[in-house]
Amino acid sequence: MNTISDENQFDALFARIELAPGERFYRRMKGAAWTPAGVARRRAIGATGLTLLLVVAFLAFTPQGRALAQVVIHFFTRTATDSLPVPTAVPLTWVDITPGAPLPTSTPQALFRECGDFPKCSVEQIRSRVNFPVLELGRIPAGMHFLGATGGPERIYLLYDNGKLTYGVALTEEPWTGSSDMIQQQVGASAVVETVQVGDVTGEYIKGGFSTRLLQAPTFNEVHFSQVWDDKVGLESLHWLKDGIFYSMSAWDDDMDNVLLDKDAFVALAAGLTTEPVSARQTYVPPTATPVPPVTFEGTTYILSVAEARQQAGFDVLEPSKLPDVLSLAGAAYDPEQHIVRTFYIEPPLDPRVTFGVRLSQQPIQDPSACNLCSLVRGDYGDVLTQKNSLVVSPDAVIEEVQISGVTGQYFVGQWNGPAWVPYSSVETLRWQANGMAFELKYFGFMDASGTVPISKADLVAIAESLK
Amino acid sequence: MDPLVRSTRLSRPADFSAFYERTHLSLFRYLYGLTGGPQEEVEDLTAESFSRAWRARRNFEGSDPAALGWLMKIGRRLVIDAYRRRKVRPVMDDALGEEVPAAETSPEDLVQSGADQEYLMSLLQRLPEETREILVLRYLLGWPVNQIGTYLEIPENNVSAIIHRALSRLRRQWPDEEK
Repeated sequence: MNTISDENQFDALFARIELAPGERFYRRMKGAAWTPAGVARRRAIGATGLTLLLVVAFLAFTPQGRALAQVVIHFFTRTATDSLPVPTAVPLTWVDITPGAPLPTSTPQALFRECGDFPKCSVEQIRSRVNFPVLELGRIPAGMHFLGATGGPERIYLLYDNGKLTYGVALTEEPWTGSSDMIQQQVGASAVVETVQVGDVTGEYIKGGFSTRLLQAPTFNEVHFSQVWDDKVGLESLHWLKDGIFYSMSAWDDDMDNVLLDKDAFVALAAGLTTEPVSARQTYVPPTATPVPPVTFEGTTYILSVAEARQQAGFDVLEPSKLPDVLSLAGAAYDPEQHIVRTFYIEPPLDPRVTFGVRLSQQPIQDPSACNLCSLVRGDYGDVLTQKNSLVVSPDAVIEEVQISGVTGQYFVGQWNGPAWVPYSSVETLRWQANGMAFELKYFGFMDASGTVPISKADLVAIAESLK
Repeated sequence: MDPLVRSTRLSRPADFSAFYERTHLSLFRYLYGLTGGPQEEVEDLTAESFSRAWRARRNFEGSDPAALGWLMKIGRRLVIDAYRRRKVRPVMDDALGEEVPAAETSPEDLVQSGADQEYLMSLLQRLPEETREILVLRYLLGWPVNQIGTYLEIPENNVSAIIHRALSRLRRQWPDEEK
């Protein structure tokens, strides 16, 4: 054992202690409630299928359909087995950007912007903004309260919960449109679909959902899982069509406390939808949303426009001329001490506090020794604390050379988490120099349900090459 | 809230997922430092801490460091609960001046295995709770003294003094060549 003659030696000794969770932990956490797999599991029952609605509309609105409506309508589609295939990554859609011009409005609709992706509008507010009748629960189940409403012009969502989001009811209402993603909700081959009477129409009730099973131990870069139907999952769902409106009502019990309503009570809840202002009468007051501040990330507040940053910096600030459509400009910031302009493109643009996105930093190379975006050195956490002008990465990090419009740049994944370097595949950095300027593109992201990172190395290079 | 401090929102799964990625290693190291293991128990405590944080996420509003602090306090409560339930190890009185009993693993055993770090961890577990926590925050998580002071609501100079005295104590307990 080494002799300790000075307290300062403990510093190095502590630094050599390697503590990290093992595979058992990561295997467990990959199925956690906040992961894509966990979210997919909870949403599995809540989603609606379009094919089903097509059939329903046909049956409801055409003479042939009305004749056929005497037979039972099937709202759910059984899969061939109880397993769903692993989701595949959704390819990015790229849009052309005119530097200096406002970025195009991204996919989320106006009502989502107004009422939040997490619902915060009243039923009356949402009702006044859509062109179809909006019904709400005629009786709010014991232990729940109305949390809020949100949606787009073509579909609205009402959410009721127990105050902790661990137990609640989600009600989706939408007019028949013929869109193919409205029906064909998949359920397991062994799922028990029950035909029920919802007032004077027929609906279908199902209990259970797809749960996530890991196929092998995950790593930071890969996760392999399948979704397996489980009728013990705390989910129940009811679909029905009435007066040209498709209704999907789901209840969840995250804690598996067996608090879900039984089938009859759940169906009675559906049959009791009303235009009466039931939610407006509740005494519960949902927390009011606090004013949203400008995006602040890693100590920088993106409060400037690009033009303002350009004016303050006194150099020509470049902007991407191509971006994935999920990204939009949150703002710009100028650091006069380092003479760096940073622009931050985030996704989704619903909440400026969101921290997923791509950050572009640019700095004129006037004195290479004082250039913060120029050098990339390998070192330990101690070097991170002492190296002010260099970006320190772990000796374990893999630094790749990439070509950006004819110049060679450097790309790596990972970041420091305290004194430990963690090779997060979802934190990517690309650095290069061109025309007397040093650039850094950094993606702060996440791994999607397919185990891939939405913005790849090639995507970062494409953004870099589009700078104008 | 200071507008220049990054605000953390945890209600959406994607936000919480990022929060988990940013913090799980720190939380694990923190809980390992507090408990001394075993590994699986600390993994369970870490997982349960995130699970509880997820359920209570809508009650949280604050900066990124505050979110980590909130998570760590959830974890610390779980550690205390575990102690109470199972009485895994005695809670030490906060008496820095007193010598502590010998570690369960003798220095000789550890000398043979050459496990400096293991012996250091065993000594850490013999420290009073607050002292142990401060050393864990300072050396296993790399927190600066002012951040520790803010988290534990202790004046910075007290934190520095506790660290200094704790290191002196560790050095006294460290086997020298004659031992």
